Amino acid sequence: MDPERELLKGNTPTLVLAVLRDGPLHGYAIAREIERRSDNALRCKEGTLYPALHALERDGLILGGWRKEHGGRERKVYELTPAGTAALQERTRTWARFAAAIENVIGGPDHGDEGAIRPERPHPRPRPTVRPRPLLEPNG
Amino acid sequence: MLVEDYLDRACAPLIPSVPYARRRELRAEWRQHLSALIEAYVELGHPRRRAAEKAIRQFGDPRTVAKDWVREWSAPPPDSLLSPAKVALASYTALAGLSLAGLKGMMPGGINGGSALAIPPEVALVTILLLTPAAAGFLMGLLLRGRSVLGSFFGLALTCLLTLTISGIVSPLWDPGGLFAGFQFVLWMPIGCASAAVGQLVRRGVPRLVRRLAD
Repeated sequence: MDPERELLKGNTPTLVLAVLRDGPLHGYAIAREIERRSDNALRCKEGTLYPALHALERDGLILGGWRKEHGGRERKVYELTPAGTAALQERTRTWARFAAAIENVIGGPDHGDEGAIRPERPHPRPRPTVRPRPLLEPNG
Repeated sequence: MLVEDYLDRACAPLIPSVPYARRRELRAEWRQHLSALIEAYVELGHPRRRAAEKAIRQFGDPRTVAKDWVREWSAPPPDSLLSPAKVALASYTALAGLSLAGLKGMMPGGINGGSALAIPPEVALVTILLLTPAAAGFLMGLLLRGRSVLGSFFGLALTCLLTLTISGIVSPLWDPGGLFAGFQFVLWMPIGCASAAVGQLVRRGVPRLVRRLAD
């Protein structure tokens, strides 16, 4: 399976909580908001939102209710509960730690050796300066 | 009626396990989502039929959508993963205690030195060895959501081990207590687990049958 899709699937509940932080939304609006905030980078099969919504509602992190809209039509709208707010804060912290750890492992702008994997040291020693090699002399 | 056909295919797998009212609500929700997607594609200039096809594709394969939803519906809340096992352990331990007391009372000499029960020993044996685990397992499957069969297995396994250990310490295995523990180990586990599975089938199947009869 597509690794990006797997990553998105596992993080869909967190994305839903983040989107609902700014106010109640229905399922379609949640999908659009995730797309908008990610500049269309995060697009999933929208039916997969509903298992995540059900799980979050079951766990008491969001609350769903039917509300009448302007046209008289009823729509199921979800809003964050206090437990959901706390869960979102925790998940945000967890994600920040995880992302930083991944960044440290796979390399970032401060790493001299691109892609090199070094064993973790408690006090990293300064890297020795690498002398540039002399350019090859042209023949003749 | 592309959307209604899609919803029929997406909602059909929900029938065995999801109550009618919840299914109807979910169908309405999915219909609204698909309608909004279709309107968005129509606004972008697509003909209505093409917009419906794109919306359905964007929503996802109906079997996958249904399967994922049912998986979440059937999963117990994280903090109650042990609940079926706890219930099974408590109920089967209580049954084991009552059965041992009944068996002891049934034997010549009884609990207080006399025969405590008036019912024939054969009836008591059949009741204790066969009917009680069947009844307990069936009730578990009927009343508990989630992994009642697994919970039943763990509860029974622990109860049987406990009884076998205690009877092995207290008396030889060929004594009534030891015999009971042996029978319990051999009979209760398959009877209890099978009954729990039957209870689950009834819990899921009866609403469907009622719905079919109502239609």
